Amino acid sequence: MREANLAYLFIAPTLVIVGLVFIWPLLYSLWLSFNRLNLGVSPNPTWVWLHNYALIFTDPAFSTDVWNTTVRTVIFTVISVPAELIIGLAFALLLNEEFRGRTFFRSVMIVPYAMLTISNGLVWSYILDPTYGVLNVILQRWGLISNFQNWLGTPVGAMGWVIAADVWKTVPFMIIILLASLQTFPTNIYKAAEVDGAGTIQRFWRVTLPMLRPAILIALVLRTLGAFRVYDIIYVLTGGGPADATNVLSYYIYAQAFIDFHIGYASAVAYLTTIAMVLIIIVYLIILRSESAA
Amino acid sequence: MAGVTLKHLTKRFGKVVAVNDVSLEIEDGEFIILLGPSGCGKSTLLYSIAGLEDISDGEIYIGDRLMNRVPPKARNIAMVFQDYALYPHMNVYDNMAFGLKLRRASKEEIDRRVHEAAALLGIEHLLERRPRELSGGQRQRVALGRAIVREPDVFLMDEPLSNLDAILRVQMRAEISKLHSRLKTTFIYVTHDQIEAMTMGDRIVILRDGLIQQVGTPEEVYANPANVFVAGFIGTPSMNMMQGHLTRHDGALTFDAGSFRVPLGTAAVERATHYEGRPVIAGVRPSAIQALPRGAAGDVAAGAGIVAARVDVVEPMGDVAYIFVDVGGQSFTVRVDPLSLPRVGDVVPLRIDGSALHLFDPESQRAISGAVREPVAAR
Amino acid sequence: MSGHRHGLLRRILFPLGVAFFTVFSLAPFVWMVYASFVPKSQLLSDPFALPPQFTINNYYRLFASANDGIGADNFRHAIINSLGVCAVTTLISLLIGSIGGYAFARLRFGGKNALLLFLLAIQFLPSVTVIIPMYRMGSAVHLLNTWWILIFAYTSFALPFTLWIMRGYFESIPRSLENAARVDGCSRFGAFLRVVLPLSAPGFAATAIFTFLNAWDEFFFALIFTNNYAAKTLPVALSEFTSRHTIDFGLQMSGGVVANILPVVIALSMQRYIVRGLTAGGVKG
Repeated sequence: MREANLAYLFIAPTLVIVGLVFIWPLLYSLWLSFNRLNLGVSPNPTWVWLHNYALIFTDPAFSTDVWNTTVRTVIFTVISVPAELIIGLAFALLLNEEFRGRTFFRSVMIVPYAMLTISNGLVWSYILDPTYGVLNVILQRWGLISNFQNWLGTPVGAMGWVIAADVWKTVPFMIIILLASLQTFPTNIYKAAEVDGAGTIQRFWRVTLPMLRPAILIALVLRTLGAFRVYDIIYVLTGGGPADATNVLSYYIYAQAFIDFHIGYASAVAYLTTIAMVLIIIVYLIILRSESAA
Repeated sequence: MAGVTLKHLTKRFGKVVAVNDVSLEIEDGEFIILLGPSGCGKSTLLYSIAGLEDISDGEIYIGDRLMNRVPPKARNIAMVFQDYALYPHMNVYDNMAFGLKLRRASKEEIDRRVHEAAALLGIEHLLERRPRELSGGQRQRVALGRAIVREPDVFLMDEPLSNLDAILRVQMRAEISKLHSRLKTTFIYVTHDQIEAMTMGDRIVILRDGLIQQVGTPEEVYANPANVFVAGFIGTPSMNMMQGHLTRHDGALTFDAGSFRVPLGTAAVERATHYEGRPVIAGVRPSAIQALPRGAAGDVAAGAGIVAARVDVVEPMGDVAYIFVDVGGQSFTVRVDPLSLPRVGDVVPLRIDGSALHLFDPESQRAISGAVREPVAAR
Repeated sequence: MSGHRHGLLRRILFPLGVAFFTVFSLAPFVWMVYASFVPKSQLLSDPFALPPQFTINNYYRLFASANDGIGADNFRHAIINSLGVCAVTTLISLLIGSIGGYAFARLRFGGKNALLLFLLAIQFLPSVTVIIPMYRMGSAVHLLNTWWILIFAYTSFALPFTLWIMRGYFESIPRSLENAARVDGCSRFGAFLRVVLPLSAPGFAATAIFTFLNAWDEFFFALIFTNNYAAKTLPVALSEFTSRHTIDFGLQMSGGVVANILPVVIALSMQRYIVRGLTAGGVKG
């Protein structure tokens, strides 16, 4: 019994901090979501049961917003995650080969990961600036466009560039996970495949890719959850605009809570988002379990 | 210098009883072996003596001090581990000096002891090296050196030779034995290898599933195994076991296996009379079965302990040879003269020496009688 | 794929791929550094003018100007805030995370697996859900606008990962080493200090780097929990600094370089620890 008590003692600080920062707020947030709390209008929380949730689902003034926001988040996730995966995979395969200076390039790939997300957004917004941005300058010089474009001014453009900026930053993460997995593959399976008659592309499809499955799955899940939560880059690059074109869930909740002060309502939306993410995690665990059972 | 006494030592992991009511008196200076198959509890027992495991019940004494509540560092023991457990971030000298440094020994004292131990083990030239630069045998010596330097009351060894190759193992066996005669300290040595046990130990404690099966000198344990398990465990190749009945045949108490019979020797008759008519298990060592020249086939099934056997496998092993034979469906191992090997498929007559038969009760598995005259195994 | 075949396709695709990769990874960073050394006038008219006029004026203004209205003093203060918050977070989470990791690696106790799974799952909760309550909690105990609330939050973000990685490292150290130390004369804790800790140094390095980089990068919580420069960290300060100097891109970029120089240098020099860390936690699931 001494051993167990010692263990609990060692784990206690972690549990206390995690409890205070995650568990308690999680419960508190639930409570808040059952309250009506608008800091301008009704500064004291009043219990309204499922009223906030009802607003989300039934009141068109709110439900359309929530729906659109969710759709945008899903679009963001569905486009950015596969993009990261493909680009990351391509680069990982590249870096897996032996060539001179490989270590240099492996260091180079870290840079986007190390750069601050905020700074990432700021540099991109400078590059994309409609009046002075470098992209406009370069494209015009090369004759690809006639006038300077307002890249972030259209809904599609804004979403597109936000996705691009986010993908840029998260590709190293993909590369690292995939590359680490690739490195553990014994080289003689490729030789065996060659002897069996497989060409380069076939070797990739039938040998490399299947062996990468576990790493891909893990990276996919981690990044799906990450993309669902995206906030920083939206804040700095587009501020949710233009005209809500890039207003995703996290940003919407932030705006509702800290700009419009609809705290109770925002908590409700936040809670539903959490539940959705828990579902994603559960789906992943199910897939993972069936993978390892197979 | 101290002996070790265990009283009703029990260690449980949840519902599993790893060490079951073990009581043992180990004399000061004795080299005692804890022997058994994996999972028998020997390592757990050793770790309990070391204090690395808390015990569930019972008492441990080193010398005459009760050690139950004493942590390992205060028990004045030294331990040699199967994987040597050398500190990778220290060189050999520091590895050996570690324990002494913790006890605030003077630099001169540490230096003296480390060099003495290193000289004893022939590793003085390795003192500046790191463990990863050493071979397995060298690492083992450093581990021994680390233990010697502490001048403990008891040396505990957990299968120290298992990770060495065969030749090195034989060499180190002799070195450890020499070390023991020189230091005259109590050695408690855990192994699953019965050859180590038989060659190194003053006494052997055979364990199975947490229970002591038998405690005795190598000779005792070989000649008079206390139960079927010990009989089968000690001795290579292992004892042949046969099921049968004790009957009276021609007035003599006989072991009847159905397809053949073996009359018992006189001493066995004394101890086994009350088993007449009852089922027994009989064991006989490969060295106690004699392969007869083919001409003796005339006595086959004559009941005089002679049996016809068909040869399945022939294993010449240099100065001895073994054949695996089939007798009426049962498999036996027999030691034969390498100069007159039968061929696979031959039918050879075998004589089983009745006075070399070990009888066991089929239910309790315990020995009924031991053999009186037993050809002692070549060491 | 082993570098076996030297087909034509490979000879062309490969260098192209590497070139594209390099441009892809470095372009924004390189542009940021470049622009920070170019005077405002050139950036606005013809950024690619050759020969470029280099100047360190932007940095000069950033570091040398006092309260002259460009907000450089606030920015500088934010640098200190970031350094302090991130360093303390790293230290505390290393300390707490490693003893927790030791418990999971070495000690037997009930609920072990469930607890571990729980701690891992926690990391995936969106910040938005906890940020509102934490804000209210923080203001109730008057910890807003201090380093401590950020340290607290960042530590709890870092703990599950730290614990997981350290647990892995501790498990990889053979128990017999600790046992040997305990027999040689250490208490359980002494064995931890003298044997386990020195051998787990790479694990510490990896988690320290991760924790530091993630804390340095964190924006959302810093934005919400601080509204004055007593505690504002670099990401927030950078964002404000940038919007304040709308077309003075050079100055903006110089702020960006300052904010990024530390994480980029750390990441580049400790790259192998990062890889080890990510894969130990990530690939093993």
